[in-house]
Amino acid sequence: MFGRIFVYKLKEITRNRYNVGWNFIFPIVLATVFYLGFGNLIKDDPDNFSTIEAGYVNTVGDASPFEAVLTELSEGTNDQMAVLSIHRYNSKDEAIKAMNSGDISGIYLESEDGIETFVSKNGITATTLNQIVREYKNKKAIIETVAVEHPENLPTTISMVMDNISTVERYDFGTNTSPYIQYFFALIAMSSLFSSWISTDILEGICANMTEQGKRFECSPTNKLMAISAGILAALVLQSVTNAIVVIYVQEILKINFGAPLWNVLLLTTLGSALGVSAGVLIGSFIKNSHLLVVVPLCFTMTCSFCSGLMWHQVRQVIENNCPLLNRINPASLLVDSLFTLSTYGRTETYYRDVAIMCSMIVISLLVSAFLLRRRKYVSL
Amino acid sequence: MSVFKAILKSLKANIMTIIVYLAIFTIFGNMQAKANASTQDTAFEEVTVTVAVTDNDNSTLSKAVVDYLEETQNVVSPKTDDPMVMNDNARFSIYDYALIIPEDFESKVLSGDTENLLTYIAPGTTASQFLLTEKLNDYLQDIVIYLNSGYSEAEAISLTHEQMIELNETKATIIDESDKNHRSFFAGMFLFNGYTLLMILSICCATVVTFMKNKDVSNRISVSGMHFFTRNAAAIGAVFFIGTILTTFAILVIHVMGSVNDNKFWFYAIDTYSLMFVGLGLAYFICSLTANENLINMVANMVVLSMSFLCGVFVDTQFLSSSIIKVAHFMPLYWYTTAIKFINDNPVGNIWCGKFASYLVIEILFALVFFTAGMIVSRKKEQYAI
Amino acid sequence: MSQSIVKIDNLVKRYGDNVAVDHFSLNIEEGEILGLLGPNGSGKTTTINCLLSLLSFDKGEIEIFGQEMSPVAYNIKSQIGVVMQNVAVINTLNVYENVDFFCGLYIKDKALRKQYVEEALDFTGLMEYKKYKPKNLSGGLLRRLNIACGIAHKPKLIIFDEPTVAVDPQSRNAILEGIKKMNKQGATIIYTSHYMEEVEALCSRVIIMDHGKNVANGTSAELKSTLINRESIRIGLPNKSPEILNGLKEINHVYKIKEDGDDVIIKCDGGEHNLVHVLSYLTDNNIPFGHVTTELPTLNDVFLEITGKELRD
Repeated sequence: MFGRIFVYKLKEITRNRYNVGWNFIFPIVLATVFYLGFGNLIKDDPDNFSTIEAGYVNTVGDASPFEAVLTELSEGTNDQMAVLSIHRYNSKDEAIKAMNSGDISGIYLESEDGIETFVSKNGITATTLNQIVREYKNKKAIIETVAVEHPENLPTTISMVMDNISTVERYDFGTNTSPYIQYFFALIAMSSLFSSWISTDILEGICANMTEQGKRFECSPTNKLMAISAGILAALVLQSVTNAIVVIYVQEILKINFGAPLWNVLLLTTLGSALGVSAGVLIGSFIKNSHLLVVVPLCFTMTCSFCSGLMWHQVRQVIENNCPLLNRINPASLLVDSLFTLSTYGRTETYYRDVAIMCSMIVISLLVSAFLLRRRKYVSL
Repeated sequence: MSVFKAILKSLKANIMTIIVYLAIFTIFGNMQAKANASTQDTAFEEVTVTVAVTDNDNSTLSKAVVDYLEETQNVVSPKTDDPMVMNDNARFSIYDYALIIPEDFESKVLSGDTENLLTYIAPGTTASQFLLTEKLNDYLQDIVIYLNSGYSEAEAISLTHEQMIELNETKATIIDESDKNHRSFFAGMFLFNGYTLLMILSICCATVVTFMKNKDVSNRISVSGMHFFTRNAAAIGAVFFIGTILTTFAILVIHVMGSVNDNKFWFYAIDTYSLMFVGLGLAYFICSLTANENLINMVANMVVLSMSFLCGVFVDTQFLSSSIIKVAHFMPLYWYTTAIKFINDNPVGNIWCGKFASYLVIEILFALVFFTAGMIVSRKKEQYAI
Repeated sequence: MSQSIVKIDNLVKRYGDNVAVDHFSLNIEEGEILGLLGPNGSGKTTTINCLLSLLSFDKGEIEIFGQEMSPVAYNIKSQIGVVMQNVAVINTLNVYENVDFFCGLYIKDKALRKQYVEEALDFTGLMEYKKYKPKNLSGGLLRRLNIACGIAHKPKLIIFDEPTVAVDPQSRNAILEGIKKMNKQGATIIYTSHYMEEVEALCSRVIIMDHGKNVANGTSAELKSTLINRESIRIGLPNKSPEILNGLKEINHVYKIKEDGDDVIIKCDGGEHNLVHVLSYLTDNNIPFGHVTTELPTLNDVFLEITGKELRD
């Protein structure tokens, strides 16, 4: 009996074009839009440091030590790109013209008065260009100070200045996941939560107080909870498959790497599907109004998705810092967090915590729904 | 009047949708706009990096480093001692940089071990990470060099500090000739509004109009003896009324939230009213495709969300590839966001010009295209009795 | 004596202050076709929902096949078939799949189920539409599908809740014939409808409900016999002199004479050959008369007499 109801419910929901539209086409369309929108941001983050185009004008004429520094900075090493790309100009006006036309971001003018920096606007590039001059002046000042106060140590000082010791190191997490990939995770979370619709659909077809079919169902000698379980399983199978297709589409066709083993990603998206389905069952066991059965799952899904970073990728982290509890109870955030953690750090404590919370949410909502539906032995029509 | 009233009453069914989108708008639109707002500067100003410092050493030297950062950068609390959370915070721009000073920092420096004294967490190789790492390196190099050149710890700290103060005088000169690259709070809010307002308008108006599209209801209305013109005018009037109310409300919300007095506000408002026509046109087009509420929601979501991503609402157009921008030209939302950027980038006196007007006209033309397409679809459906 | 299939004893169901079913009792025996009549809001559907354990009730007892009915009385439920007032089918499944799905809730054996489903499709004349989706069926076919879903598992008790609403005369006729056939094959049937002539033609016994109460119970003939007026004779009578009218009134069983334009209506409270007596009086006295028609009372008259003629909700 369980198998038959499962097969028929699966047929019923797969043939429902709204389910297919929302849970399958919508995520595929959005994934494509995301890809078009910031596929290149994932591959090439705009915040990444890139070589600064700078102009250099020397009115003194001689080769200066500063010019040597600039030359050094414009030579990249194997593990680091060049900081500057130097364009030499004969006059300040010529350089300013180049800056206004956008060829260079700033100008170093070395004259009798010293070194001057010109930039077109404030910002990180301007500050970096300025910082180069400061460092140059700073090191020059050190040597001058030591030469006066401790001339005996001057050779050590000069050699240390030349050595350019590296005093700061990066904390290495091994991988470097782009924050923009979170949009795809949030998309999968949204599509998972949309399955709450499928389960309200299933409940509608089984519970007498919702539809005429439900009435017919309850008149039959079929255990209601068993029938609902079969329906839930059908919803889960449909949603897991559509999620898997979306994941494979993003990974294989759009070529956006989730940075984690496929089986593990699919396991999480299946868990997410179960989360959406069970949330739908809970909603369906509370609500009887057919209009609300459309609106509530939609609003629930969109609100959770938004808070998990679907439209603005920083939201989840902002919530994490201000009200972490919200991220712990938002199913979409949990799924996004587990996927993000998996791809960035691997299976850490946070990952297992997220998975554990999701599992408990599924169990709790199913238990509460079972209680509510069981108590409604006789329905109120 | 009864058709007009009935349409207004049927809006009640959408109250939940309106509340959700307005809530998203007021809370998250506001956050996003505030986060991205910046004003134009005339003098050179150092970019300060938001850095979260964890000092595990608490030594004279570590305090000196923290003091230096506090003087020159924006130091915030790391909010956690978990490096992964710090990494996420840095990755999602809660702060730009997390610096961890280890317990044995001072003793290492004094013992002459100078390699990799501090650890930092930053997302990838960002420009701000590069800048701050350079600054920290420069500072610590000074200390280390002084210590190795015969100075005591206190002397090294004080000399380095003095030097850093002196270096603050080294400033670049700005030759700034444009307003671009600064986004006001209003510009941010109105950009986000492009998404929420279109969403609210297309869903609400489409579902409201559907009741008129219901065959039995429309037949009943048409046999009621009410003149064709009267009932259609009433329906159109009601939908425009709803559109105007919702749009005005959204504009008022933005006005209330913007604490600064921006005299460009009314230009943004005009652009938003043009967008209203697009929203109504879209609603009409969608409901010509289907009368099913579920399908209306789906189509509206797909169309509006896609446009928002491709037309610069969620992702700034400068980050989109040029081919996407070309495609975006065929979407009304692109012209709305372009108009907003135009208002933002130009002085008040120069806004009211042909270019700005052309953006508005293009938006209205798009609205007309949607209306026409909707009418053609409805007509064809009637012809072929679909 | 045949076995009691359904026994409802003193059923009371309230919705707040409103009493939907008021101490209603009912006994249906095996092989009966019971017509359950009543105006809108009289409590028919509520009674049926209570009977099917879809609704809880405040007081009373319900027994089906001699056992107490409850939501988990699966052995009872497995022998009941329900044809709802509204079409209750799954729109995304085709005709065959719909019948198979609902039949499968009762019949586990695959081969037997296949046979039953095909029989149900044959029975309702839906075989050639078995691949159609419900939305592509006409109103009548949809109703027939609704019936097929309810009866495919060959239940012993079938409840039809207004199955012929919005159905053309041909389909209606087919449905009624089908119900008779099922009854002949041994099914006990409860039938609710607003179409009196259907009930009269179909049901072996009729119960009229009003305000939640059982207000009349008996065969169609028994119910009609409770009416005072048993026959109305209409005669075109040019001369309506008091002597003639008095003479007509003297005839045995005539209790009322009513003038209606050119005609007079003669109402009789029983007896036989009333028309013959009236006609002999007229011919014997050389009284000229025109057309003559006679009407016997219908169930509709009984219904209106009992439930009144004022409009209901």
